[in-house]
Order: sequence, then structure tokens, then C-alpha cells
Amino acid sequence: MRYLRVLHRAVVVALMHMAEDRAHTALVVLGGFGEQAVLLVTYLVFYRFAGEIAGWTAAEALLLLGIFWIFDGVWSSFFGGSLRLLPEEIRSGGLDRILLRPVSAQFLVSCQVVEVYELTKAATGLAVVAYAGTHAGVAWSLGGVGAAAAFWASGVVLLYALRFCMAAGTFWAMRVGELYGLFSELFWAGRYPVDYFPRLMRNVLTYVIPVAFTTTFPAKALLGTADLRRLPAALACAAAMLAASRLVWQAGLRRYASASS
Amino acid sequence: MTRPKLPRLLRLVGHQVRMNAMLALEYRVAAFVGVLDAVIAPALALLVWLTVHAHSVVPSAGTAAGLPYDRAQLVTYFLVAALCSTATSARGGWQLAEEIKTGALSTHLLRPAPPMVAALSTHVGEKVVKLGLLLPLVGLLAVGFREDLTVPAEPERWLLFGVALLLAAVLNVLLNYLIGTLAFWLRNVVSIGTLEGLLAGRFVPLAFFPPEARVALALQPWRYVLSFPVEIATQGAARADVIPGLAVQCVYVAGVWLVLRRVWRAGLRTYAAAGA
Repeated sequence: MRYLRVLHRAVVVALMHMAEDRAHTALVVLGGFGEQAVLLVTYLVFYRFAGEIAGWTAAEALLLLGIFWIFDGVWSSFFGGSLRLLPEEIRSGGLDRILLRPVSAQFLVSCQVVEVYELTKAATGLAVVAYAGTHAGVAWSLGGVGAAAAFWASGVVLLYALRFCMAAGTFWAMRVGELYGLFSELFWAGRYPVDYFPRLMRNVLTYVIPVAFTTTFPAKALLGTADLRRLPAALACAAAMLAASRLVWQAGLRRYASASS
Repeated sequence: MTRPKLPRLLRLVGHQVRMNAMLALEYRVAAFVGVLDAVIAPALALLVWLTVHAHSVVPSAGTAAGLPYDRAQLVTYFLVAALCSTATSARGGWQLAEEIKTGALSTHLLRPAPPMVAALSTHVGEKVVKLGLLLPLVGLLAVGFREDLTVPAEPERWLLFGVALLLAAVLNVLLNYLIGTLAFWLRNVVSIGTLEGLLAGRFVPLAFFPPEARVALALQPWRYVLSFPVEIATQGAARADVIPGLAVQCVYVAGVWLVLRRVWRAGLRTYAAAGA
């Protein structure tokens, strides 16, 4: 309950910021729509040349795109901004003021900066999922939607844990946080079905940087073509990674020496 | 701000280029990460397009046309694009926007050279180091795809490519700077990187768009930032189109330069040092 209250406050603060700087908010939201339009155009160009690409028809790919936007919106609203700031907080000693607060520090550093306007992307995503799903022949059964949601949630947790550990690596080496730059392109490669890539890359995107869980598998679950045997493993891995991120955080905190860490 | 004499200006540029190259060497991890990112993006694009190519319908009379590039052209396009996008990428504008916001621009205004020189020197200084890091990576990719890689044989085409690449870099620095000057009036300059990427042919070669869009795409400035030099290297641009293309590029460089000068002066008048 307490955590929900903290999150609620963060959202309220974000909304106040947005109301204060309306021109900027409008620009950022427009920019987000522009980004989505560019990706949509990219897909339209793909399907100018083929009716079906690596087992994905245009409608099915659009369904995946919608799921990607929901992920993008949720990720960028809650985790993206906060985790980007974490290395600097550790380096400068700004973490002190977070550690003093009476809630889990990991929770605070993971979603203290809420960027609510990013949720507009998720809204577009939901609309696209509804539209494309109907065209792709999704049955909307409780099991299918449930499996999709479970895959998606486990994917978000896996990516969160991975990204969080990378940012927390700053406790040990100042520049580890920058390694994220290496992964950022791969991190966003979830905007395409992993089947678009050759086997090696497919495995990387499934097991190393598990973006497949946030887009490809949920889309397949909705379409009824997912391998559901993967689901328990996904959930177990997500739980394990979350626990591991907690251990990394605690080990890091033991090394933390405030301003000079 | 007095106008410095040319030799002095060149000395200043030389000095700042050296300083920035050293800075990039100092932050070599960051430079390397940036370079790897610059390779991963076109490599992913290439892999996706190769898949699309494998599934594309063979054109038959009256139906949709096939992919305009074959496998070899796709490979060449994206490998050359990886090189060109690192060579032409510019971020002086973001720096400028930040400096206008914080008032740090004042330091530059006091110097005996226009602030633009600082941006240009950052650009050149970084490129020297980054291209040195990038070449081995692209070389590796080239070896990986050696069966499909076809580069033009005539030295003349390489010469034209070099000229187009240089003009592309200058144009991008100017465009980026122009966007940065918006910070004189806006509190936050929003990145339009994704849109620029689309218009420059970063992920989708411009030749893949429907014919109705092609004229508009061929004439907009961002084509001349990346796509145009790459087209020369992949032979996508017919020989007769290269010279007019270079002319358009020159017109854009001159045009953006003139606009930038006017906007810059107008901006300085609204600038109040402690945050615009």
C-alpha cells in the first residue's frame, strides 16, 4: 500500500510538471507520435515487398508492434528515466538522500522519475493491438490473453533486472553504466519479431537480452501459436532475476561510500 | 565579437580539433560504445532486410514490384551507411541547446572565434578517433559478408563519393546546429532523430518507398546527409544523377548556412546570458 502511495505521488508530481510546461509536454507527446509513425511506415515498406515475412503476416506484425508500444510506453514512463539517472546518483553521492527515506531504496531509484506522457504510446499500442488483433484473427480467449500478459510481464521483469544490474554496476566501476549504450540498440530490437533475424541473433534476443518475451511471445500467445511450455520457465527466470537484482543492489550498497564511491 | 582573420581562425580550429581528439581518446570507452552502437543499428537493419529479401515476392507482370536492391546491394548499402553515419553524425546542436539553456554560451561568445567553430572542431576531433575505432569493426562485418559485398571499381566514383560525404558532413553539422539554435526560443529542444533517420535512409533505403513519395524524398535535405553518398557507393544513383545531386547538396549547404546566420543573429538578440 505504501509503495502504491509513493508511486501515486510520483505520478501526481509528473502531472504537475506537465501542466506547468504545457508547450513542452505537447512537443514531447507529438514527438512520441512521430516516432510511432516512423516505425509504422517502416513496417508498411516491409510489407510492400512481401505478403508474409518469416511467418508473420502484416496484420500479425502490426499486432506485435502494438504490444511493443505498450511495452515502450510502460517502460519509458516508469523505469527508463529513473534508471538512466542511477549511475550519476551513485557517482555523485546523491543516493544518500534516497537511502534516508523510509521505503525500499531499490524501488525508489527504479521509478522515482515518472514520465507520464510516455503512456500515450501505450494507449496507441492498446488501440493498435485491438485493431490488428481482430484483423489477424485473434480469438481473445481468456487463456490466450492471460498467457500473453504473463509472457509480457515476465519480459518486463527480466529486462528491468538486466538494466538495473547494469546501472548498479556503477558501484564497482564508474563507467559500467555506459555499457548500456552497447545494448540500447539490441534492447529496442524487440520492435521486430525475433523471427526476422537469423538464428544466432534470435538466440541473443531470446536468452541474452530477452526482448522476445516482451513482444514476440505475447503476440504469439494471442495468435495461439506460442509454445506455452516456455511460460513457467519465463516466470521462474523472471523471479530469479528479480531476486538477483536485489542481491546485486545490496552488495553494491555495502560498497557504497557516499560521495566518494 | 570581431571577425578573426582566416589564418588565425585556422590556427584556432587546429587547436580545438587537437583538444577534442584528445578528449575523445580520454573517454575512449564512451567513444567505443558510441561506435559499436553506430555499427549495431545498420547491422540489425541489414539482417531484417535480408529476411525481407528472402521472403519478397518475385515480381510478375501487373503485381507489386520486387525489392529494388538485390542481396549484394543491401549488404553494401548498410555497410557503407554504417561508415557514413559515423562520419557525418553531429551533436554540436545539442551542446549548443544546452549551453543556451544554462548560459554557458557566454564563455564561447567571449572567445575570438564564432561558437560555431567550437562545434565544428568537436565534430572533426571526435571523428578522427571514432573512425579509427570504427574501421576495424566495419572491416570485420565486410569479411563476414565478403561474398555479397560489391564496391565500385572506378576511382572516379570513389572521388565523387568522397566529395558527397564531405558535403554531407558539413550539411549535417549545419542542420544540427540550426535545430540547436531553437533553444533561444524554446525551453527544451525535442530530438527529431527518428524522423531524420527515416528521411536520411538510415533504416529503410529511400529507393524502397512507393514511387509517389520518391520525388519528395529525393529533394528533402536529409537525403543529402546520409542516403546520397551511400547511393553513390552502392551504384543506386545512376552516374548522370550524381553531378546534379552534388549541386543540390551545395545549394542546401549554402542555404542552411544563410538561414543559420540570420537565425543566429536573431537568437543572440534574445539571449540573456543566464538562460535564454
